[in-house]
Amino acid sequence: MNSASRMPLAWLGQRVLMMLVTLLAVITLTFALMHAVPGGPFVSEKMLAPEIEAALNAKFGLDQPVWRQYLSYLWGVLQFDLGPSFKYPGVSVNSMIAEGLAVTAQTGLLAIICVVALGVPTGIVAALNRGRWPDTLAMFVASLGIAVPSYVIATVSLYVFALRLGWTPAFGLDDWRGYILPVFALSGFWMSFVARLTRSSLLETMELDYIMTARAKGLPARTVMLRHGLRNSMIPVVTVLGPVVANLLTGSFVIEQIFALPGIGRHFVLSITNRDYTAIMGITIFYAAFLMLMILIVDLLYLWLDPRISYGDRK
Amino acid sequence: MTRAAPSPEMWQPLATNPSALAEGPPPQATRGFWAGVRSRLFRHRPAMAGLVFIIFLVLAAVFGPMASPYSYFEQNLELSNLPPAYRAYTVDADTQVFVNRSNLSLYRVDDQGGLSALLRPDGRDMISRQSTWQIGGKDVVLDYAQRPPVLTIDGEVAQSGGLSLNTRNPFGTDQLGRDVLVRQMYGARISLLVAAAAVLTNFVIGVIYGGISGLLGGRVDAVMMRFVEIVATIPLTLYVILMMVVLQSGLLSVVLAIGTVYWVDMARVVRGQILTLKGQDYVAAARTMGASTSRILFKHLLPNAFGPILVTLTMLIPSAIFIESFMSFIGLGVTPPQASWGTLTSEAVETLRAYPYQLLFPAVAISLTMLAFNFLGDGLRDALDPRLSS
Amino acid sequence: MTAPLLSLRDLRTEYRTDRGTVQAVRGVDLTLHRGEILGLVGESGSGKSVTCMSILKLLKRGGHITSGTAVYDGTDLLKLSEAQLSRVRGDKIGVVFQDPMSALNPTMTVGRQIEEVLLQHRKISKKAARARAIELFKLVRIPSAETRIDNYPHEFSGGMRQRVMIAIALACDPDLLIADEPTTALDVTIQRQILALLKELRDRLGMAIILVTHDLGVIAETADRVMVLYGGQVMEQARVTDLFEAPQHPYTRGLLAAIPDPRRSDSALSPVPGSPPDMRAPPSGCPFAPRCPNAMAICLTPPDLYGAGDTPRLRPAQYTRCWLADPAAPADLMEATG
Ligand SMILES: Nc1ncnc2c1ncn2[C@@H]1O[C@H](COP(=O)(O)OP(=O)(O)OP(=O)(O)O)[C@@H](O)[C@H]1O
Ligand code: SF4
Ligand SMILES: [Mg+2]
Repeated sequence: MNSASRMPLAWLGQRVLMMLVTLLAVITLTFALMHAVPGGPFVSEKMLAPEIEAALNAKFGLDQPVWRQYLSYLWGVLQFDLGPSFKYPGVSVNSMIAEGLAVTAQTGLLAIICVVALGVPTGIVAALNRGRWPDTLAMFVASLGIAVPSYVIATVSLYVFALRLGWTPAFGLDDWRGYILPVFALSGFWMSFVARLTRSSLLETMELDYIMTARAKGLPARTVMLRHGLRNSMIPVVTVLGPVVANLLTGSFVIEQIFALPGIGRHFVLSITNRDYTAIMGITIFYAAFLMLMILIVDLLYLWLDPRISYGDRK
Repeated sequence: MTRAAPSPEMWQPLATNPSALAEGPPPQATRGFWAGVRSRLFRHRPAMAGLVFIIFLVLAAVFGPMASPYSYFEQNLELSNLPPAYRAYTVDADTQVFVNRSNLSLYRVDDQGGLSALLRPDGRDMISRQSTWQIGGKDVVLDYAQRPPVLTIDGEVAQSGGLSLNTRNPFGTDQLGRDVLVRQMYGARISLLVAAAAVLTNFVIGVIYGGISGLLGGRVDAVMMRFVEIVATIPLTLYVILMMVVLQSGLLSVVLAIGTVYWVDMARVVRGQILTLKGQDYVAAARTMGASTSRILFKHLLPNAFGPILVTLTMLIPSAIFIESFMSFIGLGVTPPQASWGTLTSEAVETLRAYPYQLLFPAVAISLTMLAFNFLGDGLRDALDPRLSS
Repeated sequence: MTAPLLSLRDLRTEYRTDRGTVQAVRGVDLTLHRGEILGLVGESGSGKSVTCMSILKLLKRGGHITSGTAVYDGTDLLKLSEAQLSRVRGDKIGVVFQDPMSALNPTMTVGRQIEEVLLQHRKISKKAARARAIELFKLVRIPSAETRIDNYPHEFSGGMRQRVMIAIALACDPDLLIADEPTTALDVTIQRQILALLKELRDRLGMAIILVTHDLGVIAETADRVMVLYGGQVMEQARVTDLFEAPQHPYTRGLLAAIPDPRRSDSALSPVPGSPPDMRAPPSGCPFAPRCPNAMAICLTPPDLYGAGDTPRLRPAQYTRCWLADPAAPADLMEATG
């Protein structure tokens, strides 16, 4: 069977439907939360700049009952329109996201590449050297990477490498070196996590019966490990890639703040401190949609990796 | 066969209880499960190191602030940004001073070696960039036209002495002159408080939610788990942030936000445990004997699910501590003057160029704490799962 | 007689775990001739699998061979390096594992898993390897071989998977097949088919087989010679007919007594009262003594392996590790038990 027959369109349709339901829940929840703010940001007597008042009125009808506001917001979201900013006249939430997307996507993508391209090999090397110094060293560093919060990694490395040694710029992405510290700080935790996971998963896999079969066939130890051990041990690693994406997003809030990167995360944190409620709402919904897309992609990756999985049979 | 012929009585039937012949299994096999867990945990060195650190931390958090002569909010702008260790200049036999080159101030070193008083300059020359002091009849001049500034005493360039510890504020003071040590300990208090509150609320919500879902099963279970799935699609941090927007910053809000959001894992673990245990005989027996659902839940299932729940809880602690400090770092957590490791870090970042060492204390504190809880959690998990220990 | 194909001498293997060292095999001798089927029986934990797997040093983590030789075709396998061993594994000696459900790689088509071993040991093209794989599939009677070859293991039943395993083991025409309980996980009809297949293959290809099983019925039907293992040692060894007609060891007798009809193949072994020894601390004398109905004072010292020369009751090629077979044992004792 090839992967297409294990993933009938019915399944895909169901998945997309489920995503839409979840998204609806997220929209409703964020809308409700933002309307629950004490004093209420959407109370019409609020002192707003007249242009914003006008834009909001056009968008939500602030004088309208809440359910009408909700419906018109929902209608907007369906048309990929997240409405005007609550704070900045003439700025739409869409444009805020569009502006930050490139920066966040670049650093995020680089971070994922680091997680996979450095974390997995580190785990393999550790597993191959189980109990010897490369393993001990790698796992010690990984323990640190998991324990030390990203903002600590970011600030300390900012001080050491940018302010003290001057090897990298302290902020901005004008130079390729500007990417090093943010990407490192962003991916530190997951690199360590994936290294540990790869190691333990590989060691566990190498204890399975079919590894013994592979050895009994007379395959060299390397072939046994790479051809039979590695692929199977990657299945749990792929499972965490979904959460990785999610956490890189939230991680970007603090990293973009520390390194003064104009990404979505920074916009998000700024909107929170500015109490820019429509921006908070819009960015949250954008995140949710993005994440669900990522999880779908991870599921498809899974399908390719593990032939036992068949999404068709699932009830 | 070269063996000597055995004596006749050797051919007599063996009278003793045959089972006595087998040397008994090593003591481990007969010991109780929890005794085994305990001994494996005690042999897990990182876990023990973590435990010792956590005990130390709890003691410091509980008693430290009481024992300190300072409070976490008491400001003293005259004594701001003092270091934990300094090099003093000797002006005369009984006067030593410390120069803070970043804010160009002079402080008197008291008898105990603490930096306890700001010395106001007697003259200040903005044009030639000099401040002057009259101390014990000597002219002390700080020339900050040069980089780094130079201190002269009666015209001679002063030489600083060896490094001495600031006994008044062992960790120094922050930009508002507050004692960093007491703020650190207060930060530990907040972290542990948040962790405890989060763990407690998550435990209660998670056990109830997962318990109901697992016990009732069927359609209720399906709906409840679908809901959990939906909740878990979005990173929990995002919910916490949204909650904080609604609740406004503050310690109570942080506890509330973390407590109401992080129960998802717990609910899943409890449900999974219950599903596996449900099939087992003694639960069916209890049921036929007419035990109520809640009785079964608390008397039978939970004690058995204790291990995995414990591991989940221990793993939850570092997450809660991290998320609180993360929120506080980006300014959505506890409000000033309250100190959390997150706010302490972000305050240290503000003065990073002038006083980089201020970053050290909160960074090390949170990192060690996270490490300690992670090690303890790893050790616990290994100890509970004998299959894994090597 | 020609030189044996395989000869094990004083094999000792232990597993070092965090709960103590398990002495899995404690001095096993074994001789196997070309074209012969040797049965290995014994309760669970008696060391059957570890004995077999030690021959090719296929031990899981913690397993160590502490002494012994395994001379195969003139070379001691236990002295070979991993690289040298890998030229023997899968080529000269094929292995079929106990559990067909877990012995195949779930993420690789069965065809590739067969081709792999061919490509490793034979200088042939991928195409030729595939053709040979299909041929092997037909040999082990897997229907519609041409299409099934591209399936994944989870798309096969247990019996079919075991056939795939046998096909892998046979791929390079080995001289010796080690089959570790090839039928235990399967139901009776499938079991018969697989055993018949093994016998037929032996007759056609002339290979020797070490057949591990719990089941004396399987032995009666398939093997030429049989070794009874207990506590990591050989308790009794004989030609199959001799073992069933004149069992000498109390353990063997216990096993046989529990089967009303040895030709019935669904009779698993667990009938002797008591449980096997803890191999972390095996009894210092006869390992069976705690359960033996004939146990004597002398049984607290380890008995030797006695052969036909020691007592007239043993048939040629029959050996037993029991004090009852000692020439010095009182004659009335032998009456009482024989
Ligand atoms: N990987 C291992 N780690 C530790 N001990 C092991 C391992 N494999 C086998 N043993 C021990 O070695 C002894 C012999 O085991 P072996 O697998 O050879 O038994 P067996 O006769 O094949 O039993 P079965 O019929 O259950 O397959 C047992 O006491 C077992 O506990
Ligand atoms: S040696 Fe003794 S204990 Fe062992 S089998 Fe023979 S009679 Fe029984
Ligand atoms: Mg076995």
